[in-house]
Amino acid sequence: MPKLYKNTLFYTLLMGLVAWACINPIKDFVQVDATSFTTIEADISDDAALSKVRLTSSSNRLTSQFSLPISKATVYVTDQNGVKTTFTEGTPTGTYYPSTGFKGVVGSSYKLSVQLLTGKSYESAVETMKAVPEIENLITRFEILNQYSKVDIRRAGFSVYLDFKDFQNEGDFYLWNWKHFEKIRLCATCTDGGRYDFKKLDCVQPRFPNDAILNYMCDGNCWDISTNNDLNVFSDVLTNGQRVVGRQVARIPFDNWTPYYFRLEQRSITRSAYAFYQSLISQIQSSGSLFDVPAETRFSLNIKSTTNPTEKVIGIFNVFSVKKKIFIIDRSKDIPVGELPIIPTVLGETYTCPPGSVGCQEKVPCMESNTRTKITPEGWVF
Amino acid sequence: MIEPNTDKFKMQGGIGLISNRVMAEIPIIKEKLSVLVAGRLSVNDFMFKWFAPDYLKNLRANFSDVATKIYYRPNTKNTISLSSYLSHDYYRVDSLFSIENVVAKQTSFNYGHTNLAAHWNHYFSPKLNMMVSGSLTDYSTKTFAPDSVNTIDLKSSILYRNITTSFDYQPKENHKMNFGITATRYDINPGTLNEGVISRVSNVKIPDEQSYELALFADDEWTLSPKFTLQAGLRYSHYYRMGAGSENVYAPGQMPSLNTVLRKNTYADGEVMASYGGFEPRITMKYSLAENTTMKFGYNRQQQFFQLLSNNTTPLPTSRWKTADNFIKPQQSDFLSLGLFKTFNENVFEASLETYYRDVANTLDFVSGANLQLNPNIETQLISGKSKAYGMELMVQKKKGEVSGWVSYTYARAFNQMIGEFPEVQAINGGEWFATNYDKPHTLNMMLNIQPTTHHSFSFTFAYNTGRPFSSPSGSYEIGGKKFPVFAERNNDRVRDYHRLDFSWTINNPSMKKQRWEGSWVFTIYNLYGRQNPYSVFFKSTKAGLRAYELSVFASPFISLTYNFKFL
Repeated sequence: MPKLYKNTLFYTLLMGLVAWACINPIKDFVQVDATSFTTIEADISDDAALSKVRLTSSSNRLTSQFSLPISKATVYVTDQNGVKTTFTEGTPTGTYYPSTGFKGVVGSSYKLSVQLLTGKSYESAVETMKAVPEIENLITRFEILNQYSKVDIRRAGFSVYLDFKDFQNEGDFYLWNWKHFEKIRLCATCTDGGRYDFKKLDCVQPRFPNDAILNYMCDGNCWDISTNNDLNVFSDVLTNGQRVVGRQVARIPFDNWTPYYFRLEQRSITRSAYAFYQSLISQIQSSGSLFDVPAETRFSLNIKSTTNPTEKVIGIFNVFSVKKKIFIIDRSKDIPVGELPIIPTVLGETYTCPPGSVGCQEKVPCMESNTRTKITPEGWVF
Repeated sequence: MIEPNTDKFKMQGGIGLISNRVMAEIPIIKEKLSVLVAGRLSVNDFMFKWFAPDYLKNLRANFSDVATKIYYRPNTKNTISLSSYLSHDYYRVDSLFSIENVVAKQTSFNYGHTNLAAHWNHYFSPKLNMMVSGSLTDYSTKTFAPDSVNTIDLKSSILYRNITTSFDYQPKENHKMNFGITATRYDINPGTLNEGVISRVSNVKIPDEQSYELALFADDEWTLSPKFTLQAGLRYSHYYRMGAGSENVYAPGQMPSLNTVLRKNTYADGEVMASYGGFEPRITMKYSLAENTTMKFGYNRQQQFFQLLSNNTTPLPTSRWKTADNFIKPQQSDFLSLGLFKTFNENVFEASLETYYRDVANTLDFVSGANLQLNPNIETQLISGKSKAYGMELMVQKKKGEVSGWVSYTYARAFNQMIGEFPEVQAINGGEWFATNYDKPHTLNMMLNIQPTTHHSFSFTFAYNTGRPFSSPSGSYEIGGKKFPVFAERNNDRVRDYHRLDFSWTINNPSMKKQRWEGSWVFTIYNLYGRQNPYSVFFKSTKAGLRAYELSVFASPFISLTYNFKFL
């Protein structure tokens, strides 16, 4: 029989965790093993803009910033009727896109094939695209998390909850992503006395750094993009056919009174993709407690090597349908008296050309990246 | 539980920072009937608000238990005792762990034991006596989140009922026998979600499991010569997994999974679904090599029909228990030990050297990413394998004098080999032996007790062990623009070594008066030099790539004061 000592041990550990626990970064962490694996991240969606295949060799270092892209591969997807769609390499390298106009169809089945220049080839299991319900309702609530101090940005904010109606058949799996676009005025900040170099399109440090900070205005429209950091997946195993109410999808900071542009994406993913994302969640988001499950990478869930069946392949063939909705969240409503936003302060001065100077530039271009764009976001109303 | 004193009222207890306890022995009829009542209580969880890190400030945890025993000796030939044990534990967390796929912000857990037992001893003669005992234990857990529309109420329980009759027979001074029969019934409710609860979350019921374990046993202890004692025993145990129930039949040659279910076999109430049986021999030999020097050898085999399924680094009190069935075979272990014991200086010093080897068949582990909660097809998530453990323990004790203490060093290893019938999925570390979470090769423990007077004493305890294994990444990969570690092998690295020094100062009977009420104060400092011993290592994504972090528990000195009392 389970004995009390287990509970006592559990309680003691819990007390230890609570009152005298701490988390410290390991400064000199040394890897005991360094191995690289073929990584395939393949998305087939009914949104043409989201279908792509990314091929990389995983990095054998934890601290490495980038994975090595795999170029010049042959990549195609075959549907249940044998129709083949070839994906060709675009930018960035190692990313393959279908011909214009290709998009998946709900109810159709797809299989991925990849052949590398090295002769290695990979095939996925057949995955069927499932329909996704509409995002019905989004509720935003101003909530204070009292465990954080008053100056902590995490304390006051808006929790964003979602309602939707699950389909009648069991076996639906969901994933949510969101994007926020914030229109910006300043496109570059040079610290330590640096100046913006309009040829290099970057800040250049002086020989003797100082405390000066210079900000540069954008030369046109520019938006900063922020996205969800955490993975958020859900299975209808316990709520089949029900209206799912109050699923938290985001927490928005109270860093201004201004309206907040929020684009939510609801995906209907396959069982394999759900299992894959769950394993990622347990590795990164649900670790660091007394109750971690063994950290394990789920290799070759639905993609296998056809040339070497024992090869471990990382990644997922993710076939999904998607619904998007844009919400403008009013951050001035229902704020309790005495609560003020923590507005980030802009340090330094804004650079302006000296009067009468010739050929001087003072505005910098908006550089396209994952976190910045000059393209007006869909549904932008401000 | 001890037999309560039938002559004199006695009471003892303690009041401390973490818990409080009290025990009373109450004679009702002198030398015939007495009662023991003991209880513990912890309600000090308000401390979490003050000391806990931000993310745990809302945590609540408390426990209480009460034990009672009634002891009755109607005459010199019979004794009867009735005992009970009740415990209740509660804790509440924000989001440390909760039920997957349920919308809930806070989760509460309740769990507790109810144990009732009765013993009757009858003395037929000075050479023969019989003991009949019956016991019933219920262990129930409840996980709940009283959110208005997404209410969850997950219950599980284990009911254990046992009856045993055994005889002690001592035909000669140097020869003792014990034999008997025992029967146990296990009833498990592995999980019932939202039965009779109005909620958007479904009602899910994992079928109950019921089983019997019947055993005959005999044990013989014979002192063959002043130097040699032999103890040999044999137990035959048979296990029946009983209906009503059902079991999946999977396609032959294919791995059990939801895709390979051919049909379900159903069994009526009382029908045997699976059965296992086997002998459990045991032997112990004690031989005196010389005066004050003894050698001991032991061997035993044990079967376990009942296993805890937990995939967490610390098993949760709400973890699932599972009886053996056609997929999950009983765990069987063989244990061998050999030891040498010696005393010196008229038993002031004692030294021992012991070695052991354990071999375990049908150990359970889990497939990568296993889902254990409310899973009706748990066999699809399990891998059965082997374990082995071996080691050596050296101990030196000084038992008497103003300065006493002991030093022990242990070399211990523990490995698992997990490879199922379908190694592409059912294999951990490619089916090779790997260190278990408990594999800590070197352990050194020391205790020093200084007692200058009978009124106070100091003690220091030092503990050291090799760090426990953890899975270290082989690199990193990127999915959706986010970085994740690649874990290619289980337990291929170790956390830093563990060491800790504790101090305690006990002041006995501060008033120094001889009286029935005697109090003592115990002042302790746990982790005196505040070592941040790592409990686990984990990885988080940062702007600079993936970073390794250590979680330390009891990471700073902890001072506590306890008042203990005795009324004798």
